[in-house]
Amino acid sequence: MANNPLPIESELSRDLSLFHITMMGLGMMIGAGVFLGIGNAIFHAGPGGVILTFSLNGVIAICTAMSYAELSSAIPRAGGAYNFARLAFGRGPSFTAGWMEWFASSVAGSLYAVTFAIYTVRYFQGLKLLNWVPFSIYTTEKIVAFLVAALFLYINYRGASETGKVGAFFTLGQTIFLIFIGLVGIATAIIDPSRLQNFSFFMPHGWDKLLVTMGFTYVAFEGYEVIAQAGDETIDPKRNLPKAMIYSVVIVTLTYVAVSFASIVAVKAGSLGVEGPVWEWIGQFKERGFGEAVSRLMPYGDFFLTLAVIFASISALNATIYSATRASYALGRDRLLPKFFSKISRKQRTPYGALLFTGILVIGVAVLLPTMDVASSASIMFLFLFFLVNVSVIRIRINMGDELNYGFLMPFFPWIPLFAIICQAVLAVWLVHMSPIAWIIAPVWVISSILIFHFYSKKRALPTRDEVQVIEEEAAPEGEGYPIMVAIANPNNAIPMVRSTYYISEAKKGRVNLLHMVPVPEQVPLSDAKDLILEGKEAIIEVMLHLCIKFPITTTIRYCRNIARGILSAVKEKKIEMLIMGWEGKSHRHAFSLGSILDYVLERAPCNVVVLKDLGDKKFKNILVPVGGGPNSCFALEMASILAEKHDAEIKALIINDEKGKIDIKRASLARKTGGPIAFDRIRVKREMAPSVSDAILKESEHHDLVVLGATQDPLIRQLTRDSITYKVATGCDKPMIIVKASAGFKSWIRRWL
Amino acid sequence: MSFDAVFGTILVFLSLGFLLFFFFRSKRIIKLIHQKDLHSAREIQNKLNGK
Repeated sequence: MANNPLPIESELSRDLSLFHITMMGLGMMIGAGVFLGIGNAIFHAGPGGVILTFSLNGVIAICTAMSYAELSSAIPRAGGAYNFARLAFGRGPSFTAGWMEWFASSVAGSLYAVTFAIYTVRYFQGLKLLNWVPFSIYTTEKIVAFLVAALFLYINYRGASETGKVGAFFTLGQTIFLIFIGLVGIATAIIDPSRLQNFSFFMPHGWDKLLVTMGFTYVAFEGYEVIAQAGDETIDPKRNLPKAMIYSVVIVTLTYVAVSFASIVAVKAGSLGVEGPVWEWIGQFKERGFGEAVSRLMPYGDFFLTLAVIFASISALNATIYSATRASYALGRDRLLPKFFSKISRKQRTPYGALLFTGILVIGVAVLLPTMDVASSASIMFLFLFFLVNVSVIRIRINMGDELNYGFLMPFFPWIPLFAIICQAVLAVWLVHMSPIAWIIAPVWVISSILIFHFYSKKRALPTRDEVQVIEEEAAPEGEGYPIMVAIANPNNAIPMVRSTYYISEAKKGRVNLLHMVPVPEQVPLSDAKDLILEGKEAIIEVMLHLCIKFPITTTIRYCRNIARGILSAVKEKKIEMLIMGWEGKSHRHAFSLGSILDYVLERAPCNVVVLKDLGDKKFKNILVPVGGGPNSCFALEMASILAEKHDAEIKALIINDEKGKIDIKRASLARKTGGPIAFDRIRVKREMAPSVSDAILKESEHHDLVVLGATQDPLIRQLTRDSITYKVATGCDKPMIIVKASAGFKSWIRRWL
Repeated sequence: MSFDAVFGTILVFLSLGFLLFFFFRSKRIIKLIHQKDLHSAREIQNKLNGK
């Protein structure tokens, strides 16, 4: 312990307000997508299509924003998708997330450099200031893109990273300008309603083109990623991060829709130089279409638009280079990429290794790929990334929802992330029509992450502070036996469990594994937690003294952040068939039925679970088993039979409200594929009708000295809510009790995977 | 007006309606969580479901 550093962690000062982080998100979004996207969207989908593109994308974006908002409010740390995937799926997928995040941000940076170049060259060309340049327009744009990207890479190297405070005012200016364009467009349509005729060919190329335009403009909605990155620096992050994400998506969507509308009504049909339908005229300019339209909407529109694009591209380019560098630096720091990525310049204090590779990526993509392929590559990669975040939010809510401290919880869970997943998958697939090159680049990048992880990162990655660690473990004894795990919390719960465990293990010819999980608070690194194991060791020794004479026993002590997840991980790893746990008879927290650990384990355990309450060394003569006919009832009868044989007791199988006599214990037990024998000669069946099943069981339990209760077969959510029969009987009965749950097979597999 | 225009316009307003609905709903949830000092997903869910 003396060698370990003190568990003191440094943190950034929290001085970014809701306004600043909302503006950071808007700054990332209003970077290029809208300026380049509108003209192209009009070209492909027509005047109605461009408005639908942004409004429908807004709905998909707010669904993903809610996923980001929920996760960021619960895990307000810098890292974004990389952090979420690490918590949800572990190292491999988190490496893929970080790798995609790096690429997506870099390619978005390329797009902003290209946008800057296109609009700057177009403006100076309009002023006839580029006549001396010996290159074509395309080559000139690429040279300008290269120069501006190189300049901002250098600025980032010098450490002049954009802060939320400075960038906020630039972004506010751009946003106000775009809103102003939108309002001028609406006013123009009110003053001259004939311009609404420009919408007469609403979707000239058909509805399928809408999916293509939605796909390549989706990059204009990726600002919540940078808001998530600001988690360490935000004031009251649990409240402000989700608000900023939702606000920024709503603001950009309304702005984009208004601006798209304005760009269509900006041009009067038949005016100077406009031949054919207006949408065709705007569409022919593609990336420059928005600029051409706005220049006709208001005086000096071209000049102001060019200024807005220059500011928007510059601030977004700087932010994306910063974000991409940070993502690759994090991978290097965690040794998932070579150490060079985490090298920091002594003089400038900036990560020059990560910056160098980011620069190669930004400039390479900006110079080598056509603009729409750059936009499509960025969009596909963000779609992949958001897909992973939407899966992560489902998995984290189901697996860790009880232990995280949320500042926001999305409504209609899990339908919103599922909807976003499906939409994003469709958009990503449809982008193949827009850019086959992007569809080669994106999968190659993802597959390369898998190969790099397996052949390089897996062996070298540093352990994280959240992983379960094995402290002490004995080798498993030789020989076969039914694998039983007994989870021991402390000496007080250990001893009363011994006798029943003894009987069950004997009947099942078991080999017993004693498990003690040491919960370690978040603030303490797992490596510094060895002092916490003394109590667990004492409990394990007590139990071993009783059981080791008869059974082969192994012991395990592990550190973990969450006991329930730690137990399930041990059960899965050791291929346990039966888990035995103790229960003190009440839940300390109102939100749980039997307790935060038991609820979790009963819902997800991949094996049979036996929960013992207050059994001690008591003798039992009358055992009550309420029977509902499902696998849990048969398992309850099996457990009751084991104890009845040992105590020479009688079992009463209580069947309630079975009007048609459908429940047949013998037939149900024969239908079981696994499980031990049931002592039918000791069972007496009692059938009765009652208005309340739980009240009837409680009344009957008064005449018995042990109740063996199978968990109900209600849907998963209802099973352990306070309405369930299991909960009412378990908390209302003062007699010793055993609650059992048979392995749910596929259902519990789904729960565990999720 | 063509079918495309009518259907498209309805879709635009519907999607903007959804957007605003999620916006106000999210605001309400954030307010509730911080007012009632709720923490875990289960606690918040139970409160939202009125349990």
